[in-house]
Amino acid sequence: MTQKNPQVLYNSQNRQELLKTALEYARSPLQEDQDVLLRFLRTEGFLTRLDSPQDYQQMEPRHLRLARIIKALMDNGSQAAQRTLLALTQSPTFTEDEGRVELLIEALVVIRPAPPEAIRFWDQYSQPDCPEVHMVMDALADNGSEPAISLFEKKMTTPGFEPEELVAWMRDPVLRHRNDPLMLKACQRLLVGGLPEEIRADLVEALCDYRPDHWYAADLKPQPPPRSSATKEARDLLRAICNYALEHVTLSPRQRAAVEAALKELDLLDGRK
Amino acid sequence: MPVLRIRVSFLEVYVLDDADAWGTGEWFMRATVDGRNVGDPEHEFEAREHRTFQLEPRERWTCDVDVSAKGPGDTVLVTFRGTERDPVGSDEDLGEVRMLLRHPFRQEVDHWYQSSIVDGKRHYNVRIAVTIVEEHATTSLAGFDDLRVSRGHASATTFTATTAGTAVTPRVEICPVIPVPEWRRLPPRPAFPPTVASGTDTPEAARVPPAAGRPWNALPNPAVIPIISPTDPEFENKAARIAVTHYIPRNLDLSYLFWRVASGPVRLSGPTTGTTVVKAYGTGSGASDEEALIELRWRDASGPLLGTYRAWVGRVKRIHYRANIVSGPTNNSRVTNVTPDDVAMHIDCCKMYFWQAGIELVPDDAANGTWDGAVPVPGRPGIFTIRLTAHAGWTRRVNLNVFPLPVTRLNFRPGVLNMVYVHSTRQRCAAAVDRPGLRALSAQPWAVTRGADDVLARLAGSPSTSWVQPSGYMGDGTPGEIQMLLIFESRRGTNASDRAYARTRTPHLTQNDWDRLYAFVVPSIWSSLPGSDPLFSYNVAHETGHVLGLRHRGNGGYPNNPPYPASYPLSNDEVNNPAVNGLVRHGHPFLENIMTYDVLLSQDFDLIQAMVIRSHPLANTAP
Repeated sequence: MTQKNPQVLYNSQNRQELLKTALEYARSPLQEDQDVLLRFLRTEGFLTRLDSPQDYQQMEPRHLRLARIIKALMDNGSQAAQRTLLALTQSPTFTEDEGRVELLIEALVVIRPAPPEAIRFWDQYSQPDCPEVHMVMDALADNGSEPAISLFEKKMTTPGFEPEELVAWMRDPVLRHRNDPLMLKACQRLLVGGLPEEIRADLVEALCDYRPDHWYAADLKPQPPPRSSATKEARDLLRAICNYALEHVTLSPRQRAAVEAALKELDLLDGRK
Repeated sequence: MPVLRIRVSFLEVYVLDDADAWGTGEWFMRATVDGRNVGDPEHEFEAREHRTFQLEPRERWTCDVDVSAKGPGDTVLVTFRGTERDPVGSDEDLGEVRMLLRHPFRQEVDHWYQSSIVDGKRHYNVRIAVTIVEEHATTSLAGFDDLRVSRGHASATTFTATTAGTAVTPRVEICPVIPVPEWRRLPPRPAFPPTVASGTDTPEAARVPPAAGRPWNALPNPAVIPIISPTDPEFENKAARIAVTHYIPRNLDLSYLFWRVASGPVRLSGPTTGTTVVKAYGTGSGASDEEALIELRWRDASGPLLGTYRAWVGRVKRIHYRANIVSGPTNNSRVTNVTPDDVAMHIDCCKMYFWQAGIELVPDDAANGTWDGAVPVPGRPGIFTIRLTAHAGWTRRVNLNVFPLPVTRLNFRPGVLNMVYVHSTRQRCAAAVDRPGLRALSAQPWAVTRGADDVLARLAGSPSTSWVQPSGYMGDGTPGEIQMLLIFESRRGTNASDRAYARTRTPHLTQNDWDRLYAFVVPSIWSSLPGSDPLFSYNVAHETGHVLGLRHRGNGGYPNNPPYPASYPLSNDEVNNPAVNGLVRHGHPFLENIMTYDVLLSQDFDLIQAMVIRSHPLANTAP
């Protein structure tokens, strides 16, 4: 078992030793241990001893050694570890590298409800033309707390995003969370107003249908949750969305059929004939 | 007892892609053979995705087993298990490979085996070789004098070994899939008397590691024999190489092998007797592709048939390409992992992949026009760099599910394959995003439609494509018609962004131009594999296959992220093997086709795939 020795974090040039020691601190629920770790995570010297500049250039951020430490903080569950993650959002050194920003965007998902620091950080990196915006939209939906879904909804109506980007979010983060009541409520509001009219049918479609071959170019295709796992609240919300869509949204025959099929599915689940 | 001693070697481990992984792994590998520990279970390996680590020293990971005392029903169990040792938390099981070697231990192997799935993930492949070290064969088939052809009845092709008087038909395979799949995935091999020596693979059965500078015909047993002139200065490097991949017994006198063309516009070049490899080239106008059959016989044209090889014969088709390396507006967003030299190397590595389908990738000349600030790379025709002044998201974390993607229209020329290298993608993988022209394939004579959307290719004949079973090969059952589902077509040019862009281009783009935008996106940050690694070329070959209409084969489409759909592990393109040799029904080939998901082994295009991609407009219409 590696010991928690801060001298290793100060001096060691051995990347594996550094990683193992830093992991000890990252796993600790104690605030004083987290304080030690945070001090090092804010220094360029430690970060480049852990992963070389070449590693940063060549590898997915998730494959850096640093990613193991961030993952350990995510899995820690203690408030002290969560404070470390939130403090990193304020560190100019840590956030100087976009790869590290990406790690943080994903790491903050585990803090629920999302605190204001996390919301500010996500908001900063989800402006139009921010390359991280797609990661942020995934993170917001995955977090799923009220502040996060509220920001998600706001982004869906923020000028500057292309309609194709909005549709892609409907078919990924929205689709993956289409059983979540908070997400469904946000979709309900977006349908009634806020969302450009020409893509409202796409939102309805993402809630009711699943066409992986047509919707996704990448091989890793987002998967919707089974409808049968939706709660009664979620089912009622979806039913209301479907009924609204049939009345007020211009649907193609295929989309209309998908909405009607979803209603039938809900009827079956609710024991209606 | 003919096989007395076997050797089991654990050679290397390939770390699979794991979309959920965070950081590197400290892996420990434990191996056993027949109950004995092999290797060093305390050695720590740093595991990084898409990278291979060697199990060394080799002698430590090798074990000889005396099987002389084993009899019918006896087995040798080989196990290999990985563990990720967490310095703080609990260790994680990475899964296991188990092989049961059965008496009489006559099957040699040198293959990559997939680890078992643990908690929904497959973590690695391990390469294991089993070789026969000592064998006592009492029936010699070493020379013609020891072997005669029985002509006791019409069409007889039975060899009789004079020493034992036992009827023995040598098994000679000319497998169309390279690298050759594990024997269990091939048509069943006939049983031999225990006194006959075991079989062996030829060098041509092995994987051909991608590398720049390899000859066009580096991959033997291609789906297409190209029509080329014997006076072509590169004839030796371009003529198809048709090769024996396995034969039983291993002491078969190969000097009696005799190759001949049975049908089709093909000629053989160079020695045709006493060789396991023969060169072939197509003749004629090549107005349309024709089938050819090459035979391998014993001694001469009238000798017993040992094997057949089926291929298309056709003219070389050219696909023009542009490779655009797109960098971002800030230093952090720059493409730093892939250089023009890397891209040139990727394309050069792909040469052998496409030549087996009679296709040549040809650089598009910058003189045909450049747009969007694209700068031709000196000395690297067809390769351009583009430095964005805005829209960092067009190169960093490109969301491949946004359609249409603005970045693929940059510096595209209609009718030219656009290879778009970006910094990274949201999905951390490559994708063929612009695939027009596929609906036109439904007019091909081989095409059939199913429902409103599906287009399938059909191919009958023997031996079957990729030896899908029954293959028709040397005693295997008569093959049925193989059907292969094609990928969906995509169309663009109608959204506001594309329409606005069309007006900025000189000349303005028409819908017909958009309908000839063929493109895929490759992230320069791909797992932990640097762009300088030749394995990166797999992305280019695989995505080009998608653009040309192909879906995933074998394990493709279901990377290591279960839950799998109910159909797994059937092929996404619906080309599957029935249950054979103790395996469940599965996609075929499972690992060795370019459209599968095995970066190391994915090297093959087969007959039905070649038929489709050679029919694609990109390969038949000048830009």
